Amino acid sequence: MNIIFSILLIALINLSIIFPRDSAYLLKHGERSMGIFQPRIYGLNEKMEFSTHPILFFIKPNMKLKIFHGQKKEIGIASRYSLDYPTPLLKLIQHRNNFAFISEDPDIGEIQNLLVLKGELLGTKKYLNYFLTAKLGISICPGCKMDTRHLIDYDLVYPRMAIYNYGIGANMGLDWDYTYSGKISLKADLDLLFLPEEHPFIEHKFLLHYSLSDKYTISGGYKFCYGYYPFSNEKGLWNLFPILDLKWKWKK
Amino acid sequence: MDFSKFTINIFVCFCIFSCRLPVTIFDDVEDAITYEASTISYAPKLPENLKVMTWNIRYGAARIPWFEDSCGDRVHMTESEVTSHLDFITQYINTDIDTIDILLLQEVDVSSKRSAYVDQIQYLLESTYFNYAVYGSMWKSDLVPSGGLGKVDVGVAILSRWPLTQAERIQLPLREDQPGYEKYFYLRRCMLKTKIEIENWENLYAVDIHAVSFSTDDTKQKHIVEYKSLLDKIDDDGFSFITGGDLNAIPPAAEKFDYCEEDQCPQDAYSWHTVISNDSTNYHRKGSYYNNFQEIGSYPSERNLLTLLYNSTNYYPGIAYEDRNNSDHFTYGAYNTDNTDKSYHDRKLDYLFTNHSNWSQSGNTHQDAKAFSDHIPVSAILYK
Repeated sequence: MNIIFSILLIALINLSIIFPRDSAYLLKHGERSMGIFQPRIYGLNEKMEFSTHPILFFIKPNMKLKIFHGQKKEIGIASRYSLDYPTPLLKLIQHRNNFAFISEDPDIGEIQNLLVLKGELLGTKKYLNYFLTAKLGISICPGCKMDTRHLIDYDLVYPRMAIYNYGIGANMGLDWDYTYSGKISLKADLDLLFLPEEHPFIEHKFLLHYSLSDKYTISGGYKFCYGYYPFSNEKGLWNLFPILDLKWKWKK
Repeated sequence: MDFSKFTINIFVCFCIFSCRLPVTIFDDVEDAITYEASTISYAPKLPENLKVMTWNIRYGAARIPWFEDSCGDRVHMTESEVTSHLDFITQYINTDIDTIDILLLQEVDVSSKRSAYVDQIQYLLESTYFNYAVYGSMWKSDLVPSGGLGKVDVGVAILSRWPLTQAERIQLPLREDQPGYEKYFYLRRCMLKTKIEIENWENLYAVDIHAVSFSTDDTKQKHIVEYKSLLDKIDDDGFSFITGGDLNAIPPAAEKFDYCEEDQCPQDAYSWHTVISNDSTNYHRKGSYYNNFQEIGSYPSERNLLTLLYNSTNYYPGIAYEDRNNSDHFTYGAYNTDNTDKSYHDRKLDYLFTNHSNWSQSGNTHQDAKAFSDHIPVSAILYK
């Protein structure tokens, strides 16, 4: 059962949480890419990239727009804006039976309409066989005041859901993308998530990408997280999750 | 070493060995978790008698309509709800009754979302005169994906005025009547055994148990048999024990053993005793029917399961044998604050025993503590 649960977790966590494409540079004009768990990305033109997660879209409408602002001192600069409407997804996992993650407690108010807006600034510096990206972002959820009893106090999920209670959050991070060979590339990142009245949450992932062909790339790695949760205010807890995905890209 | 091989090896090692899985699985026997009050209160050095109490405190939910039992719909209490319920309990312990020396608790939350993560053992230690406690978890999961319950850490605890040593959590068999995924996330019930260090009471042990409740197979029989074996071992070694808990079993020869209709809830999937189906599990309500298995060899049927304890010549019940089925000694009822149709108490599930001496003259089922949990406490005094 541990294995089955782990597989379920991998699937859940991979969905939208793990795979943001953190680089200031865009997918080329006309190019498209998609993964089992990754969003579908459209290179709209030389300045804009649009992405959305099609599987999740029907239960968690989401979209992301990245705008490239050009290079300054050989550093590519971009900004990214995203919009998330998690209410239908949260209501889907709120019931009284098995596989309910949110309770239907009459003492707790109904899940309100939650709209999360996020803005990020990304800067990428290219080197010979690797590039480094720094990012800084802020998320707001106007009017959000979700009862903390509705939050899922679990790794990776909690810091993202807590914005529904606090109404605001911020993030910063550093990404390292390394090309080892024509077929193998690596990615490592470190992210900090900030919430009012909370210790920062630390996340790190490492991914190995292997190109099966020009079109298909398989990725495997892990996601590490560390943070203080409502049940562990005095002691930080860490966890590690495996990541696995298949990505494919094509031209329009 | 090849860089990519190294990377892959590191990745595999991390994945296999490093994940903190959501459910804690316990060893057969492991050390119990120990607690101490921040301020040590007075405890008599040479007590001539010990007052022992067992109480299932329903994780500080008092009589609110909880979603998993008693036809309720509440899932997550606020911190003030929990502490106010615990305050009723501590007030009762501190002022309403004579000093309790040893308290055997069941359903104590130490880190559960439903009870606002209040560490109820520490809370009770700080608000009573108990100085020491030991705890064994019977359900420890970072995430219970059922009803939105979330994180749970609940178990059995022993509170004492004197130090507790050699405390062990002893695993009880798991239910076999559940699908795998349910079993994985479900309770892992246990017993708690500890030695009480009182100068003039040598080799005195306390054993606390919360036996299985909702099983439809013979898990309950296994639990009581293992419990009896543990007590026999202490007895065979020439030591004394005080023991008790929520045995989730009715007394021997109890006239009533089917509470399906009494416990019927409007939201139940079935109208009990009316469904005609090949699936007999839909006929009786889980946890409300006490005749799920029959006598096998020397092991009694569910209805007479506790003859294992009552028939042991040198084991003495807290409530006299002849009173065991008296309604004054009922300890459990499905009454809720929003469902006054149900009677407060209609069956006895909570027990005390000792091998030290007959103490049933002092036995008391605390009918005046009805409002603080869905179980009421049972106490008895052991004289030296």
